[in-house]
Amino acid sequence: MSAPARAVRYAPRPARRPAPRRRPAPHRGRAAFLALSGLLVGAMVLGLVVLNVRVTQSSFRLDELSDRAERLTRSVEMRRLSVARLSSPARIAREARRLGLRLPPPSSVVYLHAGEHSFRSGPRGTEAP
Amino acid sequence: MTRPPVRRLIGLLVGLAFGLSSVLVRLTVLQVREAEAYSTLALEQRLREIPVPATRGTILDRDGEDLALSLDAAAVYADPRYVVDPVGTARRIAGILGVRPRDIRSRLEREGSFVYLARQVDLRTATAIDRLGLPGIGLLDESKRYYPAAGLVAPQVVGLVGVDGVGLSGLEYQYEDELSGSAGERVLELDPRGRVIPQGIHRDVPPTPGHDLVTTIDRALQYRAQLALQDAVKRNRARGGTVVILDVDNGDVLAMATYPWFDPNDLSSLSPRTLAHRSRNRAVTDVYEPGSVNKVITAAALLEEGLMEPRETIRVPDSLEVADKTFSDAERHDPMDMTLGDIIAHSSNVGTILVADRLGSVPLAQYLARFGFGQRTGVGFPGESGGLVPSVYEWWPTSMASIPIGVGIAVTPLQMAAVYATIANDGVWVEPRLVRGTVDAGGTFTPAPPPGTRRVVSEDTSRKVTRMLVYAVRAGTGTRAEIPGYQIAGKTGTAHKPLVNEAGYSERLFVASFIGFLPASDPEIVIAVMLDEPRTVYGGIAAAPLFRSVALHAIGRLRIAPGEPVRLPPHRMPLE
Repeated sequence: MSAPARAVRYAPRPARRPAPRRRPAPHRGRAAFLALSGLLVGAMVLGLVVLNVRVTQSSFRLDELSDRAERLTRSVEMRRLSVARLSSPARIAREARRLGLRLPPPSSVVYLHAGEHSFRSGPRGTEAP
Repeated sequence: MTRPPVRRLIGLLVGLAFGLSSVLVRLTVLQVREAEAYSTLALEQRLREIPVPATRGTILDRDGEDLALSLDAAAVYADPRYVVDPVGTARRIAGILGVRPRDIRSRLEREGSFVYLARQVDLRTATAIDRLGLPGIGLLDESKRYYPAAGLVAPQVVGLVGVDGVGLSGLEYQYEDELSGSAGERVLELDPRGRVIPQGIHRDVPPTPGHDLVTTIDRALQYRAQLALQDAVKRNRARGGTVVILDVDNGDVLAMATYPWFDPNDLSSLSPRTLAHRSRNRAVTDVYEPGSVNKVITAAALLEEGLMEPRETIRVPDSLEVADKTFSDAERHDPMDMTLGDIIAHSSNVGTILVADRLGSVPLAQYLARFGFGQRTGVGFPGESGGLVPSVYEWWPTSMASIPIGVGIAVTPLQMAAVYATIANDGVWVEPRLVRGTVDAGGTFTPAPPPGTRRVVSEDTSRKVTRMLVYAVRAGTGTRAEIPGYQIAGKTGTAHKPLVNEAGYSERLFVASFIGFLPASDPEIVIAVMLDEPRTVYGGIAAAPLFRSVALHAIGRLRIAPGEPVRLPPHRMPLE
C-alpha cells in the first residue's frame, strides 16, 4: 500500500495586504486649500478694489469731461457773441469808412429783374431782360 | 467670611438688564422704526440740488443773424452770518467787480442769511471771486442777455430782459414762453467738506432750452433806416421819428425804427423815465393824426364806389367853410378845376372835402375800418394800439371835412403803412408780422401761421390810386422823394399836433410824414416815415427826403429792380 499521497500543501498565499493607504497630508492639503481660497478671495478683493478705483477714476474723468464740455460750450457761446459783434452792420460800416470805402451813387448800380423764367427753365428764359 | 451681597448683585443685574434693554429698545427704534427717516435726513444733508437755468432762446433777424443772445453768467451772493471779515472781504470783492468797497461792505453787514452782491457777472470775474475762497461768499448760475448790435438794430422791437432773465418789453416780453425754456436740476452728493462724493448720488435733469425766434427784421436794412432816421431828425431838429418798411407780398416788417433809441447793453446810464421814453416802439404803440396821407382812403373809397371817375373834374376853391370851421389848402389859389389825381397829388384839403361829401359818413367810416383803422393790426407786439377812430354816431358836423383829410382820427405808423401796402398789393390788406417762426433746440424751424388777409378794394381801384400816387411824387407835393430810374408811388402828410390837456391844435407843432411804395408797377416794399415836430413842417420837405434816403438803401439791400413805367392819371394841373 502506498502511502497516501500527501497532499501537497501549499503554503497559503499570504493574504494580499492592502496597500497602505496614503494618509492624506493634512497640512499640505489645507495649506493648498487655504492658498487657493486666499488667492481667490485676494483676487476678488483686488478685482473689487481695481473695479472701484476704475469706477472712481471714470467718475472723476466723467466730471472732468463734463466740465470740459461745459467750458467748450461757453467758449462757443463767447465766440458766437464775438462773431455777432464783429459782423454787426455798425462795425462793418465803421471799418469800411476807415478803409475809405463809399457806397456807390444810386445811378451807378442798376438792378434787373431776371424775368418770370430763369435760364434753367428753357430757351424762353434767355429772353428775360 | 462675609456673605456675598446677593441682593445688591441681583439689583445690579436687574439694573444692568434694564439699562441694556433700554439701549436695545432705543437701538431698535432708531435702526428699525425710524431708520428710514434718519437715513433720508442724512441723505438730505449730503445732497445738494443745484438748479440749472435754461438757456434763453436767441432772437434772430430774417437771415439768422443774432439780434439778442444769452451767455452763462453768475450772481455773487453772501451769507452775512458766515462772513468773518466784512471789511477785507468787501475790499477784495470790490477790487474784482470794479465797484466801491463800501457798497459791498454795507451789504455784508446786513442782517439775514442771503444778499446779492452782484448780478449777471461774467464767468471770468466769477471764477476770480470763487478762487478767493472767502467764507460766506457764493456764486449762483444765471445768464446774461447780450445785444450784439447795441442800440443800432431795432432795440425797441427786440425789447429788454430783466436781471431775472424774464422779458420786460418788446418781443422778449411777447414771446417769453417760447424763449424762456424750462430750468433743469443737478443733484450731487457731497462730503462734509463740500466735495463731490465720486460714487455718490449724481443726478442730472437737463434744462430744456428756449426756442430761437426768427424775426422778419432785416438787420442791415434796419441799421440803415435807423441811421437815415437819426440824420433826418437832427437835420430837421425834430423831437423824434419813426420808419416802417413792409414787404408788400407777405406783410413782413423788414425794418421798424424809432428815434430816439437806447443801447440795451448799457441801461445803467439811463434814468427810468428816459428808458421808458426811449424803449417805446412808437410805430406800434403810439398814435398820431395822419393828415394828408389819409386822403388815399377817401380816393380809394370814391373810386371803389363809382362815385367819381379819374377823368372827372371839380371846381376847387382854396378854402371852404364847413359848419363853423374854415378848411383851406396849404397855399392860396384861385378856384381851379382839378381831377381826383390833382387833388391827391397836390394834397388839396378843400378838394378832398368836396369829393368826400359824395361818399357820406357811414361809407367813409366803413372804409376806414376795412383799411384797419380802430383795430390792432395783429402784428404781435405788446401794447399795440388800435388807433382812435370815433364811432360814426359820435362824429361832429365838421367830421366829414376833417376825417377825409386825416384830422380827428389817430392811427399808428404801422396801421398807416398797412393802408399803403393794401393799395400796393392790388387792394388786399395783409396782416403785418414781426416773427417768421421759431427754431427748437433740435434745429427744427416752425413757421408762424400765415398772415391774415382781406380784400379791401378792387385791383382796378388800387391801380388807379397807385397812378395818382405816382403823380404826387412826379409833380405833386412828394417830388423830393423821387429816385432817378424808379417810379415811386407816395403821398405826403402834414398834421397839426393836438394840444395836450386842452381842446384844439397847436399852431407851431406838426407831424410830417411820407408813405410810399416802389416800384410803382410791381411794388415790393412800402416805406412809411414820420417826423415828430420837425422845424420844417411840411411832409414834402421834411419827410420825403428821409423816405428817399431809406428807399435808396432798400433798393441796394433788397436788389429792387426798376419796374415798368406807370402812366400818370388824368390831370389838369401842369407837370412842372
